[in-house]
Amino acid sequence: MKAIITLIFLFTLASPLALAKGEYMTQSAFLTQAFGESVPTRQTLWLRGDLKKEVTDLLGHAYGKIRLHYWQQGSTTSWILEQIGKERPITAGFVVDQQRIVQAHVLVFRESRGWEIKRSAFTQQFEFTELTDDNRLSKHIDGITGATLSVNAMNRMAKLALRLDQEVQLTLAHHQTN
Amino acid sequence: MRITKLTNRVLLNWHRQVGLFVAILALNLSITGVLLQHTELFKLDRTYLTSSWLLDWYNYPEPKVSLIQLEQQAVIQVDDQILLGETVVGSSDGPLWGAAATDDFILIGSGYGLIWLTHEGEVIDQMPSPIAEPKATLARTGDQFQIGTDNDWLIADPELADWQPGQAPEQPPLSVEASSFRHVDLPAALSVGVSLERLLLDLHSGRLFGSIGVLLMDLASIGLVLLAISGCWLWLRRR
Repeated sequence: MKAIITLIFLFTLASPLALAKGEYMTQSAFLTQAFGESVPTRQTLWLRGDLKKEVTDLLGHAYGKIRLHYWQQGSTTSWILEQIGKERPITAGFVVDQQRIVQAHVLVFRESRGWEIKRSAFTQQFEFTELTDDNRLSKHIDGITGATLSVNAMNRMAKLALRLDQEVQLTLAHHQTN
Repeated sequence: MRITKLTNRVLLNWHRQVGLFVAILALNLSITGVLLQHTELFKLDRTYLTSSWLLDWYNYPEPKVSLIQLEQQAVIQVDDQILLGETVVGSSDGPLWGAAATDDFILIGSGYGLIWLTHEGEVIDQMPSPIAEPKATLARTGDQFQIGTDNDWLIADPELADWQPGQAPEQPPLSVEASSFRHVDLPAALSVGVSLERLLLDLHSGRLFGSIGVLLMDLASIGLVLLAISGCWLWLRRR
């Protein structure tokens, strides 16, 4: 009897639903992976005026909040963003260097379907992706059957991270010029 | 020849009667079927119905509702969702415990987090609460938000980035009131209640009316098959 219960328990753990939700990477682990042990101070970027409009156009809807946090060291910026896949927000982290994504990770997945986007085989596709002039990703990202909405959410967040990085670099260049 | 004519007449009468019975149910099957085919387009899975009779019909467990009445609007928590008036502004992993409003902003405390927003319901930021005790509450002094328990208060800087010890607030904290789900006007997009998709699925299968409904839809489906056969038979005979 015990063996049967153990088997049922193991089967439940191995089922896709059990794999689906959860925190895959903490914020501190993500930042350590991005910057090593010396994580820079957190900074804020406000979505106001033209930037807010551009972000709304880019995502197809307004972003969930207007004050965003990021971490910057030289030409590298790191962003933790959220987008709803189908019903619940997906939290993902992006590291952008020289206006190209160098790392992408799913940090928290709350949906019941589409968890396959957490796999490195999927997230590695974003590496060395840039934002084109018409606000598209420079590389084609292969979708995952049954995870279309989660994939779309990741694509939107990747574009947003690249656009926000541009804004930070522009502001920095402006300050340096003055 | 006479037997064949008699058989045809009986079959025609039967075809008409079954057709009438099946027609109404087939109409239901077709309409709900087409709508369900386009769930995304019609936002069926994102539209929730909260009529009292429907919730009673489904034996839907009543969601927990609590609210804090601000000067102009109410902050409402329905299960794990937080609303400002009728706008969903966030979700929470714990109960609503405080809300305060200045001239420009509103701050909501629930679970372990704070939601900072404008009076229009636009979320500025979400952040962890500097105090996460069941007795914690929110208040304000002038344009500054305060968080505290009975005697200890913290006061925030304008960016809500730094909280320092402060005096008791000028405005006393507002109390959290328990309310009934049926007494609050909730937006259709709030994922509480019976989804339109679920209702249409149950209407499509007949489950909305219990085992009798399922039996009727089964009979209608069988009737449709028989109608198709008898229809073809009669058409071929007449040729």
